[in-house]
Amino acid sequence: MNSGSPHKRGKARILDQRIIAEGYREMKLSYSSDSNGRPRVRPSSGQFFTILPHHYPLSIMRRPFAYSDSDENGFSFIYEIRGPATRDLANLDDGSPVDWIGPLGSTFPEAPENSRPVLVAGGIGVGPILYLARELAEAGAESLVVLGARNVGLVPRLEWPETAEVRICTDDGSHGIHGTVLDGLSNTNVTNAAFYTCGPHPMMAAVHRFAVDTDRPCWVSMEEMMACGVGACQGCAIPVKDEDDLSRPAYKQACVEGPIFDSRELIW
Amino acid sequence: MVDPDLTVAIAGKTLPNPVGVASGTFGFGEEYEGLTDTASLGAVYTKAVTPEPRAGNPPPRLAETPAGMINAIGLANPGLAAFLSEKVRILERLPCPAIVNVAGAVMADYLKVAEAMEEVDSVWGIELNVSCPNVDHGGMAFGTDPKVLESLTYAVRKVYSKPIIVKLSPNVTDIGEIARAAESAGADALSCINTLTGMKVDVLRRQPVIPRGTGGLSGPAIRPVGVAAVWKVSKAVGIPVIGLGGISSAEDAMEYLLAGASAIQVGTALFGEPDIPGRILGGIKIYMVQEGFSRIADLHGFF
Repeated sequence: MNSGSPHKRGKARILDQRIIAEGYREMKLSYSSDSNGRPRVRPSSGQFFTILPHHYPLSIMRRPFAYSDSDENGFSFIYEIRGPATRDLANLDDGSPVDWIGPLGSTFPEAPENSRPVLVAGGIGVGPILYLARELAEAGAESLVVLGARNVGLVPRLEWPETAEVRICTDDGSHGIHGTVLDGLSNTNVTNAAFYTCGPHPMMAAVHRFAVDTDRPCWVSMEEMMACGVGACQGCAIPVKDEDDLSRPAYKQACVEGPIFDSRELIW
Repeated sequence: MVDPDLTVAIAGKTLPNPVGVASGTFGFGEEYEGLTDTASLGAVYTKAVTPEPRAGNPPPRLAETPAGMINAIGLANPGLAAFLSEKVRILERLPCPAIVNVAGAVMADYLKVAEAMEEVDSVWGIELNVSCPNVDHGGMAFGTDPKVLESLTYAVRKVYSKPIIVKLSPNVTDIGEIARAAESAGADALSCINTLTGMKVDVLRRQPVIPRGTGGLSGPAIRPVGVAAVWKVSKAVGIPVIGLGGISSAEDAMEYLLAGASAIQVGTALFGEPDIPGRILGGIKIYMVQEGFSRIADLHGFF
């Protein structure tokens, strides 16, 4: 049981949660103080954890969430209220226990030397992107953050590191730049950009195409329904290109081979 | 107080305890490292192995339903060659018996995998998957017609000498008849049930959530169906029955054992609580000690 595996199951308590946009919450948790409380390794940006639903086993599937921050004492994440399980989460009182398994999955890779990280997020994708911006700031690196939302009510209210230049784009022009995240990137020199993106599939696909057109690297964080989270059930299949035989479907598992992928590996 | 005898005898071989982990939920035995103690397991039933590698079905492959979930993985597996070169060494290191789930599209597929398993010492036995609802060819087709199942089991029996467990589908009219067909052809045990055919519809997209339409329903929602199936099957045959379907606690396991099962498998509940098999085993022990049972067979026959 006490193995080389980086992940484990543990308990945490909700420190607090706050509304950061319409339907979006940021939850902060502290690891429980007993010996089982802390993870074996500190989670990195891009990684995720799963939590047992409040009404388990009536709601049977653990829910995966990306870390938005983490330190020795606890971790944070951003979630959207989408269904009964996340509604339950939003209704939990501070101090409530949470059963987690983590850290799981791959991390955002380091940007190539002399490149400028360009971080593009929408929806709950802002969570792992915020964590990446914080890690880059800790390492003394500057970054450009481009956030997309449908309207001002959905723009997340978050504290970004000072080393990050943050541009906000809304589809209806009610806040920041009027348009999509690609409009947020126009008039930007991207010759040395390294793209990192997490958010709705069409947004990530657009960033991928932009990166291909400008011949720059691009990493994406993929979301898919998960059951086990550790590579056992093959549930979270992401379509990828099979270099040996392009006529054959091929998949990778978001939980153990991702969630971070080189965007050029995937079928968009 | 003497500890109860929790061993399970199948075809002259012995499983150390009655709590196994179900095929498709535990990979090939190493994925849950750090989250569960495989030394406490009665058996690991591996992900299905087919002769050729299978990529599986397009996503989404999963949907949550009340007290359950629907999956349509599509028997995704690395194929027999990769199993032999990469997975066998994982099974060799397991501190519990490894039972390989065998699947295919045609009878020759089952025979090819079974023949290969005959040569692998670390494989305790095989479980014939004749009940997968998520593939277009084979799968459930072998488990819904007693004559077809009988000829398949008979053919596998001729090439495989160690324990053969046939995994039955609940998606049939008379599961007892299917069970008798497997027994008469030489099966050593029966596991029941595989998943029930289910569908979830996305009402805004006006499409099924799972692209192929239906999937296999598992979880606590199907437990009463599984318990009833085990009760019927155990009355229909003389070979051991391994119960599964929605077990997430020791009490759930006791329902199956009292209904006639000699062992159980935990599946979907592993996703929520990977260490649940050990706790279920502990609960079975406590029940047997407190209620005065010394072996699992003594739990049978109350109804």
